[in-house]
Amino acid sequence: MTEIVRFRTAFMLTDPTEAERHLSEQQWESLACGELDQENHEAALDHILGCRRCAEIHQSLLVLRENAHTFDPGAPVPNVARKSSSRGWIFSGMLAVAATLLVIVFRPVGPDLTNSGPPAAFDPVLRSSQWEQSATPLSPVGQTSMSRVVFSWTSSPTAPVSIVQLIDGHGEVVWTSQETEANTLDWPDNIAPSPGRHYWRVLSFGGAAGGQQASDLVAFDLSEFPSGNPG
Amino acid sequence: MNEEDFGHLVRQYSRLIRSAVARIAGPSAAGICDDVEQNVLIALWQAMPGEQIPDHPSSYIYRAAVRETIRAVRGLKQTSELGPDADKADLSVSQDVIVEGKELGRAIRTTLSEIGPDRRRAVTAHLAGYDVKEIMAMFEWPYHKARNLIARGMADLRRKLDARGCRD
Repeated sequence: MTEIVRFRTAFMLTDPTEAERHLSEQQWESLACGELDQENHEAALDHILGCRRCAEIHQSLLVLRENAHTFDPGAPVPNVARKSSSRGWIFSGMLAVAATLLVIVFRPVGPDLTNSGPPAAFDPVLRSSQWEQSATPLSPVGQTSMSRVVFSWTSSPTAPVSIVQLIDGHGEVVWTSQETEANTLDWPDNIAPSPGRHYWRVLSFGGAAGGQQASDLVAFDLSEFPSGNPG
Repeated sequence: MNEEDFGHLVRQYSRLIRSAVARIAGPSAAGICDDVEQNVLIALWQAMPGEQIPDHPSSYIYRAAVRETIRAVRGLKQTSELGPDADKADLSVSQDVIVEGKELGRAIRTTLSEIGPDRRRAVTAHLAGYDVKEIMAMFEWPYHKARNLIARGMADLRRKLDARGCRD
């Protein structure tokens, strides 16, 4: 038995948090969609790493998250994929700078090295990924009072026209707003707010590329009481 | 989205969930994974409202896929725990080996608490069976950082276990 197998077997034989509270289905869903704030995210990972049962679920969800976005544009893109994508552009930009420096340094050596111009400079707007160009929903998110719901978001930097979609707990689109260049909208008059889980998102378009991009789907729970004051 | 496109999306998800469950079940559980894929296929269809497919169901179906993956892994554990051989003791492993393993496991967990936070997370994930790519995704670390933290954290762990006299 190799050392790492022996260590892993020993580690898994002692599972101190097995009896403690596992993640709820809602917490799993939020984790898988990247919706937990940093504190809750770290607390969830601390539990998962100490709990064999939750680690197995988590490993399977990582497979799901790593691959779903490759065929489903509505699935979240893993942060590593986004970062490596942006790092790729940064790397390209660094190569461009290095190439420019080489051309400048070696200009006197011979005419061949001066013939090809440097690649274009890194342009974060032109080169940004599709993910970075979607709108960012701000509120409502999480527990929300039914008394007044206002949708607010940060518009896409490249696609200024927005449409808000409201989706009920069964996944049905129950309202699609008019096109707007604002970044807030009130709850629609023709939809009676009902307690329970809802989702919403922003579709952005009107940019130079001519496409339409969907933001992350955001979950919120409507309740009759102001959040944090159920009594 | 029409019904054909939606069906294609559902089939892609059910195949993906099968491979996600296989990540846990291992290659020996091919039969179980066939059942999982079939059950997930049905569950994802049922998760959608019957009358009409939403215009943009993809984000919603991802969430449904998350729920079905969790259920499938939990179901897998119940199948393995309640299967026909569940009540038979594993005679290939002696009680002494288990006791020694638990002793080492406790020493590892105690030692991990003495290691810096990032190295501790990297090593804990490594011992819990995560591969480097998964550790990168989990903590949003680039490849070299993840590899270095695992390597240095494992070196810390070995050194501290040696100091405790409980590595061999």
